[in-house]
Amino acid sequence: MSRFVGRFGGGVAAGLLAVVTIAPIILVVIRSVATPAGVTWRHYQEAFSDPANLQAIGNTLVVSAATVLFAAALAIPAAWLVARTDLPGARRFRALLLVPYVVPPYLGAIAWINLANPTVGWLNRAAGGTVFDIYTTTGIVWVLGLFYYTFMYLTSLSALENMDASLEDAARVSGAGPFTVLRTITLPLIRPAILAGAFLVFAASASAFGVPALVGTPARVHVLTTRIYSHVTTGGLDGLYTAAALSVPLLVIALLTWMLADRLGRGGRITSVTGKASAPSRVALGAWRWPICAAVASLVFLTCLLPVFAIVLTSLMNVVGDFRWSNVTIDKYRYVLLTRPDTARGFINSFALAFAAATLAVAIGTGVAYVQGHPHLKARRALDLCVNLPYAAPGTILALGLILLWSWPLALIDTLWVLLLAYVAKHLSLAVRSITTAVRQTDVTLEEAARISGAGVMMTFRTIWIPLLRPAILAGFFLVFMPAFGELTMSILLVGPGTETVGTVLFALQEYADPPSASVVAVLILAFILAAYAAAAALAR
Amino acid sequence: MRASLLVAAIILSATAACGGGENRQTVTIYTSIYEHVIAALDPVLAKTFPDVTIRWFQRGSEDVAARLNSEIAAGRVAADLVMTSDPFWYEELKEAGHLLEYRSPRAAGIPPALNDPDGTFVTVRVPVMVLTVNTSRVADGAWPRRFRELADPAWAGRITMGDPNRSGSAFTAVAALQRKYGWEYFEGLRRNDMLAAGGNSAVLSRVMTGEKDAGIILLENLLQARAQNASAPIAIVYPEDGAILVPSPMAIMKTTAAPDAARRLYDFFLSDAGQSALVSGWMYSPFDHLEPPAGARPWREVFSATLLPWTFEYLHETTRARDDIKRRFNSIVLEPR
Repeated sequence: MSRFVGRFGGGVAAGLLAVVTIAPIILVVIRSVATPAGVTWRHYQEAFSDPANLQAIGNTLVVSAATVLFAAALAIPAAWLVARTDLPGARRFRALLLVPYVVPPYLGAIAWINLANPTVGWLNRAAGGTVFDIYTTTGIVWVLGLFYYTFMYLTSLSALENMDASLEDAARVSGAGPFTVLRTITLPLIRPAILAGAFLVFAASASAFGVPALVGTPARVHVLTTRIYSHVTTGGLDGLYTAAALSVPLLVIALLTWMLADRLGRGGRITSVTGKASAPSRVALGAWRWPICAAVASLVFLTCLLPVFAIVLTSLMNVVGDFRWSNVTIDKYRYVLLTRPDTARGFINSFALAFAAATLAVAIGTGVAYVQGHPHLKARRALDLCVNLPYAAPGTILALGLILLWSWPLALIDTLWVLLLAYVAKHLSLAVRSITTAVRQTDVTLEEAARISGAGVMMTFRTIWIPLLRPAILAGFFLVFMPAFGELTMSILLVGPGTETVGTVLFALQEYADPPSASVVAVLILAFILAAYAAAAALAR
Repeated sequence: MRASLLVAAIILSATAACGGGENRQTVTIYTSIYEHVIAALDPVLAKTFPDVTIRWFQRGSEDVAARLNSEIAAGRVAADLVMTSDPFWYEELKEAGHLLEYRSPRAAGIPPALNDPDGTFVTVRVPVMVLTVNTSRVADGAWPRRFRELADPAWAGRITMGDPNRSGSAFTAVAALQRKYGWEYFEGLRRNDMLAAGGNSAVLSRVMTGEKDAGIILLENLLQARAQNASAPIAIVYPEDGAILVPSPMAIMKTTAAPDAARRLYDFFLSDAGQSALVSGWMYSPFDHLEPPAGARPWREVFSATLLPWTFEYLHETTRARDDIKRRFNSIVLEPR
């Protein structure tokens, strides 16, 4: 009887999870051919006969490929330098280079628009002419690369830190110089990790919305996500179906690259685990030590300090671009915080949503991780799909699916509920991964001992698993909380009257209503996210 | 005991959230009026309508229109009252039968051309499109004096306006300018690489920072910027070929669940209190007896010399061509070549 209840309950839970996570994405694909009016290819014809859309596909591929190259040029040397050389301050650099990982890239877009606007950007003013122009395809790649290099940096870093050093030692003993070792041993060994990182960067760039929308639109450069957005927002019902048709190639691009990354990442991890004989020795940089240190420091300057400096400065200028002390004011903070009711509402909504989403995600994540930690339980494959598909699929498509799914008969659209569903589905994978790792490291005999002593499932969960998993659960909470708080790509399609989030308030200010005030909201979001990051780091210690 | 207290607390807070349980009504207003004007209106409205909860949804007029159009298509309209700036869209809504007929007693005194004869919408405010120029970058004698001049090669790379796909006043300006000067004028603007993006505040910030030297913009943005900062490097230029009127309507949706509250709000916005709140938000009133916004030219001076006379014929023709005008503008000005 109780087994039946258990199975039945498990089935219902899995069904609910599937409705939340994969149903929206499948519905997008279905609606691209089968609308309530009947089965038709009309929306594909409409989507792909528009030259602007075809150009957007081309732009998406070019931007993503270029971002991968740029990211590789930053990430691979940086990872090698901090992991395998005697670079001064390597440990500090290792952490600083990761900061862009937690910051939403659209903040970078706003910072770089302030810095490199062709006529009034701070850099161009300093240079006395138009040296940099952010409103170009190169501008999109520049901003995306400065954020997404962290994906490749992370995969390379973990491969470099975990690889078997005896091979390198053997080469060195046989008389190979440090750069021969790098070229013939180290790089080939970490190639799967580099490739995995490259595919992750490609998928992320193809799915990006905020940066191309803010940087590309003034330059008349559109990508798939921005085209889908404009079909959804201006095309009425027909626009939704055309957007669905246009989503299918983007979904294919994102899922293919993501699967390749996943496969390679797994392969890389296996090689790294075999026989870790000794800690890898560090290469001495010799006379190059300090020049290279300066180069890494300037990368940190470019990715962290300069953009922060730009938005803080812009937020404090009365007349933007006119840099005099008499022009410094906090009026814009007063205007944004006191006379615009949407700002406070956005912060309250985003905080509540991110908190709820993170709580739900770790709760569901603990259950999923429990199942995955028990190889004899079936349904692991299906669970994997539920957790990872919405993570790999572009947010634009997940949001479109939620619009299609929750408009009728149960109208959750325009409510905070639909945003909560979006955030949980999108970020569940992050919580699951954090907790699964901890479950795998926990000895199952502890649980068995509790069961033998007469504890039920819930009792075991409460007294064994939760205490042991607490650090991982906490980490999972922050891994979901931070991206959910600053989320833009899905929110921009899902917000309605009264349900603004910080991301959409910022986007509306920068792109439509009042660009100078956008810097104020950008500073506030950044401060909040860095504070959450610091809190997470302090709690983890 | 504790459980029953908890239940009581939950019920109490739930009823509080639903507005005390009396026949409190909620009116959702879709608007393009600036957030700071809404913030100034809110306390007045709360005092005048203690029994009505007002929810605002604020975006550019064309964004509001796109959203409401898809709500209509989906059969689920959230808006009760609509107050945006693109007059042609209201004509469209009226013809499709989506607007509630209401002849407010307060609408008497509004010039007939600004008041729908069938009583489905009324002009509640009249923003005006003019020119602006950055005074620290452009010498006095070199200012543009007419809309027409912006297509001259002298202005290549130096001009900006809002995006007519997003902003209703930008759309109204495009409609008027193409009727007056034809699409060749816009070819000229494209040759000058005009930046058409965002709303009027974005145009203001581009000209104020010197990113662009001159722009087509709403007068209210300039008046407000000058009031906030007298030394801001921007000038108001009333174009010699005439300012562009943007008679901005108000209408009640037929699907509203709160028609009485919506009508009372409709009356309020047309009352002296409502009108002076809008005028202090730097917009002209459709009632000519009211003062112009502070720092603006008198009503008659601006309204007697507009780029085009505002007539029903113009309203109807432009309404029919609304989508075509946008498409044509996009292909000439916005799309890559």
